Amino acid sequence: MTNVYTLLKITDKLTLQFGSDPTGRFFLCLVTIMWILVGIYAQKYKEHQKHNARFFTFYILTWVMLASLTMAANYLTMYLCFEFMTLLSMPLVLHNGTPESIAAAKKYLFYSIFGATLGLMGMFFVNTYGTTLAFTAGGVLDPAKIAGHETLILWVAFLSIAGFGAKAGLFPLHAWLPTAHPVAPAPASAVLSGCITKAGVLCIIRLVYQIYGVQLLRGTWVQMALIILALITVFMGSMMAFGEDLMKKRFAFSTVSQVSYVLLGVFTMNETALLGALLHAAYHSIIKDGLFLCAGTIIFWTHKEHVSEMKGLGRKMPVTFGSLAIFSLGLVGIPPFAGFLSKWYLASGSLSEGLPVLSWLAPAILLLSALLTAGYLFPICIHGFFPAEGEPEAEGKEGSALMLVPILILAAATVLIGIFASPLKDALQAAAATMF
Amino acid sequence: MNGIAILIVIMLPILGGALLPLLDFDARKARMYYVMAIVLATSVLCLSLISGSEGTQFVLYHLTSTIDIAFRIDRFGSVFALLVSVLWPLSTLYAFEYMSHSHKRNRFFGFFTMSFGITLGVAFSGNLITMYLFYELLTLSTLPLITHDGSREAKVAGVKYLVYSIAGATAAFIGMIAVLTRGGSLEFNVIGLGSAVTEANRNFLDAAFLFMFFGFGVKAALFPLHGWLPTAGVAPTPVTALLHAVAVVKSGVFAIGRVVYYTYDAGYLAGSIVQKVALWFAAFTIVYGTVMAWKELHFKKRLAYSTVSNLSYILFAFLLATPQGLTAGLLHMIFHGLMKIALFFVAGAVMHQSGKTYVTELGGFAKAMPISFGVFTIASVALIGVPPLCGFLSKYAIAVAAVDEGSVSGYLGIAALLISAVFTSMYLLTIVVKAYFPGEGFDPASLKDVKEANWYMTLPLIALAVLMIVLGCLPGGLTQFIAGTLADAFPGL
Amino acid sequence: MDLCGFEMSFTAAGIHGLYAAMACFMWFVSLLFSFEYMAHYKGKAQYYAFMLVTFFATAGVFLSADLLTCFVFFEVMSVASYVLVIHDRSKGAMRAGETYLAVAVIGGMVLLMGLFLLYQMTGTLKIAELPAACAPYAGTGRLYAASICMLVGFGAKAGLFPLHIWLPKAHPVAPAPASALLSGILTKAGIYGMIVICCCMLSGDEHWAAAILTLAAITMFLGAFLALLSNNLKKTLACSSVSQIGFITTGIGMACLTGGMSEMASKGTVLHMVNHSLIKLLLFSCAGVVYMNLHKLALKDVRGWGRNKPLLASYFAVGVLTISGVPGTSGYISKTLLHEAIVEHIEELEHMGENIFALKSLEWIFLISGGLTFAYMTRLFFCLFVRKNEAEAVQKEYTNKIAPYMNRLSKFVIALPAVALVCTGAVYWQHHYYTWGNIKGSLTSLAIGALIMFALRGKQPAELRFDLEDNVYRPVLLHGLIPVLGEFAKIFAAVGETAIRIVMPLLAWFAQIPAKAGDAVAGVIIPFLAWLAKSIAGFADSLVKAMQGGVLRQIRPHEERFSPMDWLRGHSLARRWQELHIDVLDFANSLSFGLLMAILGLCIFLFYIITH
Repeated sequence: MTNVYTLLKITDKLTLQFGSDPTGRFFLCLVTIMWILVGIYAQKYKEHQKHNARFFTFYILTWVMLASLTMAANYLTMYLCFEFMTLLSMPLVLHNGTPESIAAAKKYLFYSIFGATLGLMGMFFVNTYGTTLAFTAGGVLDPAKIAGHETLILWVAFLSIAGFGAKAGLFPLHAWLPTAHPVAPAPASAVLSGCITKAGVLCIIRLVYQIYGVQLLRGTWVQMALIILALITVFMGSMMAFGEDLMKKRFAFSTVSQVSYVLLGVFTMNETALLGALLHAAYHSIIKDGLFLCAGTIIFWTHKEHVSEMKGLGRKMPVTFGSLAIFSLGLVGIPPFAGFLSKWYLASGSLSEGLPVLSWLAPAILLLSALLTAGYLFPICIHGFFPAEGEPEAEGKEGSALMLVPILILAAATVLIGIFASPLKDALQAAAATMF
Repeated sequence: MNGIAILIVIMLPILGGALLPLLDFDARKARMYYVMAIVLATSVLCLSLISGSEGTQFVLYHLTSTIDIAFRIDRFGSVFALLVSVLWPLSTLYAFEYMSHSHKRNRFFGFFTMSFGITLGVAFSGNLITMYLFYELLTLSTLPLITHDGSREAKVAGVKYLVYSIAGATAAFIGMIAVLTRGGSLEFNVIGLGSAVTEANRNFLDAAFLFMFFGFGVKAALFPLHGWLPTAGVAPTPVTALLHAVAVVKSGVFAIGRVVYYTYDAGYLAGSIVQKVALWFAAFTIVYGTVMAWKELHFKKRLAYSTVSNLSYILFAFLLATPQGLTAGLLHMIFHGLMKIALFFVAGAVMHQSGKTYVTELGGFAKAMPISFGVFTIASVALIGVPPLCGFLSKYAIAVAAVDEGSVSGYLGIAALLISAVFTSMYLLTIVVKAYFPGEGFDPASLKDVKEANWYMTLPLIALAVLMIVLGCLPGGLTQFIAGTLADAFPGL
Repeated sequence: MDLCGFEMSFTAAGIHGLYAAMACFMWFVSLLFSFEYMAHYKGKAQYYAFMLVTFFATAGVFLSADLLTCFVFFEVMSVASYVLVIHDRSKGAMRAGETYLAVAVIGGMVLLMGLFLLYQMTGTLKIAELPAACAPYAGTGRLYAASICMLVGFGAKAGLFPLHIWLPKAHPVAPAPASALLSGILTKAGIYGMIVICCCMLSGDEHWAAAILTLAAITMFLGAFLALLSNNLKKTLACSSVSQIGFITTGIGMACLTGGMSEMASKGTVLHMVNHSLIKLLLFSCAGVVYMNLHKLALKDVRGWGRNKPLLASYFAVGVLTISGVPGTSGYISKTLLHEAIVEHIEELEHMGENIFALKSLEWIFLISGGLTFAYMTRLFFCLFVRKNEAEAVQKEYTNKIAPYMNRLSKFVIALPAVALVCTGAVYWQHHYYTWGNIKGSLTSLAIGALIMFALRGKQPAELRFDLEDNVYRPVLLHGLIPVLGEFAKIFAAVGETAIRIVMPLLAWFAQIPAKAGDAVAGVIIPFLAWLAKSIAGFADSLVKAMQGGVLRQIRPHEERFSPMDWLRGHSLARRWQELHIDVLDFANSLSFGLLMAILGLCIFLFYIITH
């Protein structure tokens, strides 16, 4: 952390501090770009919904908190931003005002706060057993103090990391995602899925690398358990997405699965895997935002929400479905689209970590999940573009420029970042290196 | 001189309140000025006392050689007095508007004002016996407030309150006598039991401690002695707010704090079996209260259960018997007072303006009463424990104290704290969500008669919200003030 | 080149350049043929666009110098060619496309896993460095694991048994020029990968070679057998491709077995690859001409159509003769090389006195498969160009219709592979391949083929009902694996929810018990104490009564009469008590309770203090 700015000194140990480091800057850029693109999209989408002033107010406020989160320089500040982000993003979920959406928002709130509470517990212990609450590469725990309390600290680490995992959809706290996404407006689902889940990821990165420290966690049961949780999530998310017909719910389950790719990389705890994780965070943000925007466009023009109703729509909405196809290819990890390189680093990172069984099981499950991803994404495009003979003509039309331009930008990014990956990769490599 | 000042601070509201029925104001304004003048004067006097007269002692009357009626200003009592004297004027202001349509306002304000003095008496007592005296008086003076309605329900609630309180006080009294018989001192200027603690006495003193803990625990709504608190919610809101979030319940907590740190001492308790038992009860109450609050749909009862839970936070912190525990408990005592009174005020404002008493009926209220629900949101978020609002600080302090203490019971408490935080978010934020986002099928016309209350009610709310934010961000002065108690309670520190 | 985030490396040496050149040639021919073939199709722009993408990707695969680059292009090739397969949009095409994409994606992912493992082990994926890098791991499970994964990926593309399922499905439905490419060169991308595995990573590994040869033998025979049973023109050709892939794989297997020492195996493999590419280009184009005119492919429909079309017949004949390995053609040369590679190794083993049974059987399968090839190919030829259609009216129509059946451009481009094949055959004419020993093998095959032809005598054998995909893979995957995994996933997905659903009511229930218990205790104790208080009060009353004696009894009837005396005497004490009782019973009880408690406590302590 450089340029640390102290906003408020509550007590000697509790301060609100902001600072920036390469990882934080990366997430900040990512989130902000997504927010702008989705914001442009929402300008058209808003014709679809009421209470737009409220929606955009909370949309901006959520961004403010998310941006602050990326720049938080200590545990307390991060926790603060995390909580407020939850509270301020909740109105986005319940925006439609239907009983289901309100129930979903409560569920979202409950899971997030439960997770954050576990994270808070971590802070209690770090306060006592650590030297500082500020993020420091290698961790802040004081070896002299934790001597004799290793079991306790490991449990605390496990619980607090898994707690922040709620935001990232880590099993078993993933259930809010598939409930919240289908009922939220499409722009909200997009940022919720693409960016807010990444806030959970960032918090976990901070905890693993800059609070507890890799030294403490590597090779312990905590690492194993977290990797297993991530793997279960990867598998479960894609399997559930495979069996889901409601499009946005399918994408939500997909998010559950994909974000755990990122977490897998974070938990593997070496530089290669972390690089893969950061890359995948970027790729997944771009792609999943794109997918949700496509879903939003389809719903906006045709009011069709189920995948099975979308046969032949591609002819009427070629740009949307074309982009959808590109996003699908990217998410599956077909080179040269974005999504391949991250998988490469995740897998090689995992293999080189040399954990028993998990080292090769992780890539295997990643690939199984990639197959399932292909299974749940490709049919949408295929049936969209190439309806089998005898399908009735689909109704629908292409969206307006406000909707198409963000989608096209994201699609172009999926292709270009995939082909010309090196600048991003080099930048993230540098970011990952600062974590060790 | 200062000794007399203590007496004035205590007696001014008691006498002023007692005179009120005799004066029998007809004009609402006149009574208001009279009451407000007394309350404000007391508050100012009290604040000046606690800021300048630390250590003053004053013996009013010697009962026996070991028992006397004495007053003393020390930091521990000052913290409580501070809380009370800040909140009382606000509640009084609120009460004027709230009670404007009630019957027997003279009686109400009379007892209301008297309670102020009695509570200050609890805070400034110089020994357990004196405190016990005021403690019992408080029970009696608040009883008419609870039964103010005159309904059968109110009477039953009053009876329940009386039974519980007196039984508890009696148990506590037994404990006091027990300590006295073994040569312990009940004076607050003598820390600890001194030579009374011997191997032979240990079990006896432990039992006496439990007597006092559970005895005073009645007012602190410790499970299973909490039953009176939700029932007492039938009282007018200023009473529920002030007495059942601040004065009465906090005096129970305060008394236990006195017992833990002054009559006994931290060294006696640390690691003992009684401490464990007490901690378990507190931890259990934390979870229990919060779950019950979540289940409860009656607005004020929900808040009452929330109080049950939060009071045990404070007890838990006190029972840790560490310097951090003491300061954390006091911090939460103050912050919880601010937050809970604000929540109750909003509940009262809703009842007053619309007659709605169930949380399920609050759909869309935020539009109709923006200030109230703005404050309610802030207070909720604070009570959940989101930084930088005040609730976070105190909870954080409690948890850190528990971690530092490092026993299994301490960790148990942290778990209870965290579970409670989650439930707190559920039982409060559901109200917030409902109020702001009523959802489909909500008819705005149904609320067109509901308006924000006038400034008598909103001003206290705003003041509380400001306090919650400011003290959350800049608690420096307050924590320093509270840290002053350590010099007394931990002489070796 | 720094693309996709890593260094992409290319080379044009040896087989890389050869096959890149082949790709250029193949695309040149099929694109030109497409102009006529696709004239009446919709979506031409899309077709040509994906043709070109597939071309670049395929060229990229062959030119890549490391496996990662190869993989990138390989995947692009798979996905881009998918669009070619489903170009028809018919139900069959969609279904075939599904199979094709599934095999391609699954194969691709498994291949990627193999690459992970290989890279993790050796630290390099450069093909040139692989032999040295893999040498230390020879015989280890890790190397085998990596190789198997890669074999699945590449083998799926090549059409190796048991992953050949997509070939017979995709080829009949794809446009003919696309089929020509799928069969002629896309499969070779898989072969290319298999060569890397067998000759760079596991060269000389006997177990591996045995496995490859077994698969090759099965593929070789099964493809030919299926081709014989097929009654669809393009499906026959597709099955033939499977079979020929088996021949090529045999060559690779032999090269692997001998550790690259057998020049014949290597040469034969490459030559057969080239031959097969050209043959399939030629034959599929011919089939395309048929389809272009008739829009039918079933053998009984197209029978006799080519009777008056000598040019097409001669094109087709070149293909048939070459693929059957008739002496004089380049097919003969390549097959002979492969055959001789086996024979040579058998001799070597015999010389060393080792068991030659396995290789001997391989040789026979090789020869029989060659015979089958001859059989199904001549059958096709006869069917198209010699026999008459069973329906006379149709035959009449076929014979009388003399409009040009293909334009000049098509005539020219289809001639190109035919000429190339003839030239290749001619180039080898003077070489020493025509010894008796060599020709014997070929003749054995041809004899077997002739025998089979004779046995069938033009009858159409029944099509095989059993389909590996429909009867094994799909049921296992769709009705076995996926539902089972899905159930698992559902269980996991529900864990969190269920826990909450259980814990929350439990907590609530749990909270209610103490709440009720507290009240219940109060409900027992308080009435008890109330009763006690009442009894005491009653006792006091009775005392008063007793003191009053009979007076009270006498006065009672005149209760209405009130006198201060009576009041004092306590007569109305009872009445007042009753009034109180009705009104503020609770108050009274509680007060007495509180006082009682106080008294009780004091008594206990007094007692205690006294006794101590």
